[in-house]
Amino acid sequence: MKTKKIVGLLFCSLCLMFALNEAFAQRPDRPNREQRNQPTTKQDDQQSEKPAAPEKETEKPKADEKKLTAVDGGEIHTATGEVIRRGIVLIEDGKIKAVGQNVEVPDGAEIIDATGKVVSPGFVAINMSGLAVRGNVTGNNKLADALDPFDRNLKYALGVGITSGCIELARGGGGGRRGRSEEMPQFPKEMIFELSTPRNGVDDSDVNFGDTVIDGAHISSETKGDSSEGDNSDTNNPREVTLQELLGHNLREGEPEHRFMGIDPEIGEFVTESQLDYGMENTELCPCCNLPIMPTEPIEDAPPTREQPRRHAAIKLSYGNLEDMLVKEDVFYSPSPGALSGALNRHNWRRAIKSAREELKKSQNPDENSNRSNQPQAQNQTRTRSGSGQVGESPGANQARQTAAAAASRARPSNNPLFPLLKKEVSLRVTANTASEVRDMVALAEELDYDLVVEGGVEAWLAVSELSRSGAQVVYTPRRRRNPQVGQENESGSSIESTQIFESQGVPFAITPLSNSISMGGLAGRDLTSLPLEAAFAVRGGASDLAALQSITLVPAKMMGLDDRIGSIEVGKDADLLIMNGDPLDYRSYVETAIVSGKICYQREIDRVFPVYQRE
Amino acid sequence: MTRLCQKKGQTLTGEAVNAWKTNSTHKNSTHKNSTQKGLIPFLTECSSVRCPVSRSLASMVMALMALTLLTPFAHAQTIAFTNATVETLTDQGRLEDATILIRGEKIIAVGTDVTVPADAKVVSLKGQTVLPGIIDPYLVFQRATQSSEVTETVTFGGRSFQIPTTRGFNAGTFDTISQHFYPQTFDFSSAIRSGITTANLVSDGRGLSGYANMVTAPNAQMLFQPSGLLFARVTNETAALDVIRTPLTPRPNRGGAGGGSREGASGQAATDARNSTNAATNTSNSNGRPNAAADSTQARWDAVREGKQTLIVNANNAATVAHLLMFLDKNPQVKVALVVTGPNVYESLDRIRGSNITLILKPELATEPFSSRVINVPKMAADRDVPFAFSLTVGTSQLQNNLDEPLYPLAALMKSGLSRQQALAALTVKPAEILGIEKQYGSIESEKYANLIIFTGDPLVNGSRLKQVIVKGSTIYEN
Repeated sequence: MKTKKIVGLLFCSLCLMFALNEAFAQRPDRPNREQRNQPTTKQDDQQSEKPAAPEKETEKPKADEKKLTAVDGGEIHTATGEVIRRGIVLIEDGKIKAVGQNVEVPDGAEIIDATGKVVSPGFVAINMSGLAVRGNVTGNNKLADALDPFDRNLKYALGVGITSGCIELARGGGGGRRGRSEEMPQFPKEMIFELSTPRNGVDDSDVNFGDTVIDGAHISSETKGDSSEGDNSDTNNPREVTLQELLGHNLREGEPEHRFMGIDPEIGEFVTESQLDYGMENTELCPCCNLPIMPTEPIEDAPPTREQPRRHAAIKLSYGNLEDMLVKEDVFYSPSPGALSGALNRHNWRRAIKSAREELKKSQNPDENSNRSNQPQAQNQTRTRSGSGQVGESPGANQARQTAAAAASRARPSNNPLFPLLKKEVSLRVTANTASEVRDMVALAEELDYDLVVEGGVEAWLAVSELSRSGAQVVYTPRRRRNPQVGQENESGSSIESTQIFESQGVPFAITPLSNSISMGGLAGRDLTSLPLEAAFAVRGGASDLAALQSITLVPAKMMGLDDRIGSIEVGKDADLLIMNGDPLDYRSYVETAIVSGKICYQREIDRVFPVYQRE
Repeated sequence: MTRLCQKKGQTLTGEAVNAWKTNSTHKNSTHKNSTQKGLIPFLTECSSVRCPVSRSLASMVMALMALTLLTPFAHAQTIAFTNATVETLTDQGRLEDATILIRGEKIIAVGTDVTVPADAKVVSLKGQTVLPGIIDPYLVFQRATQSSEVTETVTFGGRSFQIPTTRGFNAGTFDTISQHFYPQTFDFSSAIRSGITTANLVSDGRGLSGYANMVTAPNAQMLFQPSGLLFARVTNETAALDVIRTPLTPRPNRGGAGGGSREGASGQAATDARNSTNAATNTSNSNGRPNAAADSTQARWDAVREGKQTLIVNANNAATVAHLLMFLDKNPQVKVALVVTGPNVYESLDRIRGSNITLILKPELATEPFSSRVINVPKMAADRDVPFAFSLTVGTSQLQNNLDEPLYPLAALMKSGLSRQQALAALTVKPAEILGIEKQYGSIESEKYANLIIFTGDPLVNGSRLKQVIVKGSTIYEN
């Protein structure tokens, strides 16, 4: 009986919805108020799929237990492709409880009148800097403690509708490196330059290389303790020397070891170009010089770049509410610019990914025989076996490296920052502007199997088919331009139609303005407060209004993996809403009220960040 | 010698008595009086010397001194201030034409119908207003910087070096005020001239405060409570916040911290332990009990955690206030006196309401940040029933500019809505409550210490000047 009822109800509501749609098409400004009081409710597409209708009935009586807020009477742009005229958004406990025209508002609910206004999801800025954080988040200073809910810049950002976004944490100076060393991916130790000269009769106190600290583990002592097969480990004590040390500098405490790129331990000598791992790029080798013949570009002589992932965190601009501010840390894996360019860097990147994947596999399927404490040793032995056949490496050196690695892995068990990337919990966010860069990044992502977010993408329109095929997303700035190269006008340079091309090819794009901070002294219209304006330029480039709105709401939310919480007005999501006096992308529109997590955080009349006169 | 002393004593007594009788404004009298008091311990030391001549001489001097100087105290001279307007800050409220009786260090009676004993020295304060002495709950005590540099031995590359380091006084060290208390190094005169009679001395960093009465003589009476309250200056950085969070978060066992984990909490625990041992070594020099201070520091933090003792926190920005409130939400029993400026706290007042926090504010009108709107934060706090106390010195390096009319800023606050009772209580009763000395200080009633300040008129009316400051029955300042 019940199911029949529900089906009937659904059918009824669907019919009604169509009827209503017809009615609205004819009389858009005069919706039928009486419809609200009818028992059958108009439902969203998403809701009608779930059996949500009976739930609503039961929720009504206990409404006064929690604080309810209703945004009433606005034109709701949900950012999912739907516009609800004269709708109601019911907020409970910071979450959206119901959306629609016929939402029953319980007695006692606080009602925010939005009649004649536009209700939009709060904008999500994929790039923000210089707000919400006080001081540097470096070293031991955690982001959670550095957040400033009373930062004035929050008001400016809220004033244009930004309710959440992604901040890049300052990298700072020397102090920061210390903190980040723990978060660096554990590369295979190929970059460590090793001297395996025997040290018979050499006084240790003179040249104290034996005590070189790597990851906090004293190599010499560890070697003595853990050596099982290295019978001459004392005499053949390896000296692990970093480049810095060779140059006469000492490591500072806690600093990550410097990697001397180009040394492969498995080969034991400098890597020549023919030995580099080119992955998919590797086509064939030149018969004369044994060098690979590259299909697209020659091997750039890019300098070895130290892998320093940039750190991003998703925060909410909940002015005055510290509790709601921090949403998620490390929302991207973001290598520093240039870290994936050049053959050598890419070689290292492939190696890092591969070893991390192996490590991940191991941690997911641990050996039945060995418990946790034995794992590093087991790793040790497998590595020894694989490495024993190699030329030019003394057993002592091998062993020392393994003990260092073992000590390191013991210190941070399965804390590899690449794991979330490999599990596809986060995306790789990397800057790529030229078409070839974009293609390279897409190819790498496809080869190594991770999600990709291309930042910049000035020429990404040229690689749109690759982007579309791989499912990559683009962070784009419509007003950023680049002249084409002479003679290659059709294959280089920026395009005004980029956004239209992205949309038509199904490449999700987020919009970021030309500058990411709140600037009070620079050129107006370029800083973070121009985010909706920049999205309007996406419309100018041919994208639809919906795609442009999604480019500052749902798409950036999805990029950060937070589309279950922010980015649209849907039931169950956080109540981050804007009440605007016009279309969200119209430059004449002002945000009247910004609601973050159900709380009013900005009001135009009170905060006086933007003009308060009423436009006629 | 004896004659000289005798003469000196006689003249002194004469002067002193004269001073009490006429209530004249001889600054010299009080000054000499105090120096003589300071001599007594010195003389007693002399008497222990085995030289018979000097001993007899000293005892003679002693006897004379005792006769001449200590007579007012020995006989417990009663002083009656009559015809005064008295802000009692008790249930009696404001009394017109009232009498205050003082005997020795204490007040023995206050009221309009107090009978003045026949032997009392009567001082008429017609037209003048008497207030309890101002208690400053957060007086930053400037420590004299040590000029001698400490060298540190650093082993670097197998060799050891002597590196000169100045041990940063404010760089995260735990300051026990009583161990650094040298009254000579701090100029209390401006505090006295502002009507402050009692102060909670703190440093700019963190540590254990001490309570002092602003008596000018360098004797032991000044620092009457050497171990006061824990205080800490906090910013919104992990290390700074952990100064408070770590000791206030119950740790089940500290054994796990040795595992080499580099978590922030255990790291802070280590520094905290280091600090407490630091304090321990400090005290071990004086009383030879090495772990006493460390234990007592831990015990104090425990007392704060259980809500038995107040913690004084100086939050230096609005974000820190938010972080602090978030932490205190989880530890509602912790009593905190929050030193904060108005613009940093006015947006958090609604959250503070109903919590265990007392604000320590500077009595002044403030402007909203990035705005020209003037806000009266004490009134905003009063409207929300958030208790608050005033500190005249917080946020100011010197008190020079408000010497004659120290309560003028209060008048401005009252003009814009703060009630007189709340304003005056925030200067006296509330700070006494924060410090836990409200039974002896903070209001004018019998059995409390005679810490009084006398104004030529209503202290909250422009033109009324601070005329006299009395600490424990003796005048320390006259204008």
